[in-house]
Amino acid sequence: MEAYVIHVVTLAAIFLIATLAFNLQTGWAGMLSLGHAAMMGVGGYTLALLLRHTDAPYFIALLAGVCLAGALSAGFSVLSRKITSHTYSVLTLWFGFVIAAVLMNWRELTRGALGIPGIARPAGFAEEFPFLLLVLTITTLVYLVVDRLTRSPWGRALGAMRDDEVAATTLGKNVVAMKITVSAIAGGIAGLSGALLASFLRFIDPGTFGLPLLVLLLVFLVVGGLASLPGTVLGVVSLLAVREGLRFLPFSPELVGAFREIVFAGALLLVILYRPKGLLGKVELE
Amino acid sequence: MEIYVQLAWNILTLGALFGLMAASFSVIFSVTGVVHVAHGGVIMAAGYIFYSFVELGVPALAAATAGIFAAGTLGVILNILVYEPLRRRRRVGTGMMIASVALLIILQNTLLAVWSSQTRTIDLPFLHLPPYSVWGALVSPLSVLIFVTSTIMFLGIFWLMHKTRLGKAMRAVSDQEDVAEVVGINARRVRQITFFVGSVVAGVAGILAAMLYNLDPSRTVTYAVDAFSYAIVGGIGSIPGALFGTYLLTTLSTLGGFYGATAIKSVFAFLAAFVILLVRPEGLLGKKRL
Repeated sequence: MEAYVIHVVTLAAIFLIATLAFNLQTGWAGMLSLGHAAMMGVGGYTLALLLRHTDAPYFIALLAGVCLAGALSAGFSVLSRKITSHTYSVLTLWFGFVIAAVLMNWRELTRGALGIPGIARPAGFAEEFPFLLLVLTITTLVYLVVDRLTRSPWGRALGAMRDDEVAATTLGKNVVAMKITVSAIAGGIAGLSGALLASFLRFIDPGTFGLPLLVLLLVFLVVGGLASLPGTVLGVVSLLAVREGLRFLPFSPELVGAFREIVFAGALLLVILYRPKGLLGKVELE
Repeated sequence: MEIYVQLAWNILTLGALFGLMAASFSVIFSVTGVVHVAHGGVIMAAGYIFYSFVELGVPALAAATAGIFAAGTLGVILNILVYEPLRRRRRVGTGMMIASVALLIILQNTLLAVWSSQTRTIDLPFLHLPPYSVWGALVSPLSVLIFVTSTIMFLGIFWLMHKTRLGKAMRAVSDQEDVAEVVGINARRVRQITFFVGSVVAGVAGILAAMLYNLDPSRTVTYAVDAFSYAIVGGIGSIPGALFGTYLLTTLSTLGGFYGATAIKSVFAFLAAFVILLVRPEGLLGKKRL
């Protein structure tokens, strides 16, 4: 029982890291990146592959995952700087598909559908409880950083950009630079979360970072509420509790899995239809 | 030489089949503005219902009719339950797209819950007939059926859109919804009919695909993504564009597969759609942007 609780809390903390970054980019900057799960994949695979094929120390591999995910995300923003927000979302979804297809098909490097087993945890944190403490520390740091960013003048400028891009430009804000910076930060934090997830699960395959993960993050974000960090915490914690509760339904595992996905996607649908601000959100999904 | 005839025929039939998926997706987008990702679920639902009726011993044609009609109805239900309410609440952008992704997941998992993840194969005597030999290439009766049916469907869509009053109304709503309403077109009803027609075409494609490949719930997402990529490349909202995009990508991926680069195949389709969205968001032949 104790082991199970530790397992769920670690998972919640890792998902919280990703969802905080998701909210920074979507809630404050108004850029819904549907490639967020894929960015986690970039972080996770970078860590796993570096640990497997080189002697890189753990935290260097972790940092490499963060940097690569951040750089890809930022590079993507540079490419799509002239595109409207709706097309940006579609494009990021496609970007995610491209990454998933590469992970699946570049077998020499990623072993494709076989996945990568035996991913290490940092020395001294290999046991479940110390690893949880490490993850909780990182999650708290990420929360404080994101919170600080959103309260800074830069964070307010992000909000202005989300509400009216032209107005923000006339006030002398460099909208393109803000978009690139916020993408880099959000992508990097997603990579961090993905790398921790890889270490935590000890095994990843392309499916780990696929559409179900994206939907999970979307549900956390939208139910918790856009542009509210306490909302994100509440969303992740409450929904993960529901998700774990559904595990104990007296059906076959396959049926429970299907039912769980239906409940989550259904919750997402209901929130979009009837309560677009989510639980504690400050802005609506357009 | 024979191998090239074979390749050409494969491209022709595959392109026709996936062209149907892309074109129906495109028609729905162009008239209603909905990025209907859940279309993949409608395609698969038709296949599964067809399968179940065939298993029950219902004649193939009747089973196909049931599957097609179910697909049409499902499309209309999705529109009534989700897209129209969202439209009334003026949430037509990102919210609508997320809703569609959620619907896709719901449909996929409903199929999984009802028919399980076990692969289902359609068993009809017609599918066991020996292939014809044409100029040395093997032409299966199924591929002929796929090609003929798809061609008829394309001509039907074209006729509907350009030669009937309904088609005129659909094009009017597609161009300028407000103006269409002013001249007395019931845009809501036109959208409803569009969802029905588009989903019926998707149903036909779903049944043909169920016979060509097997049924497996994970194909829901594959078909959604395929239809979406092909439609984007060709120009989302344009039917000739959807066909063009499908044939372009099918040709490239079939040739890629032939020359031994099967792994490149799936990466390539995504990458092509991605690059085209980036540099020409209206697609190769399209006028409308996402």
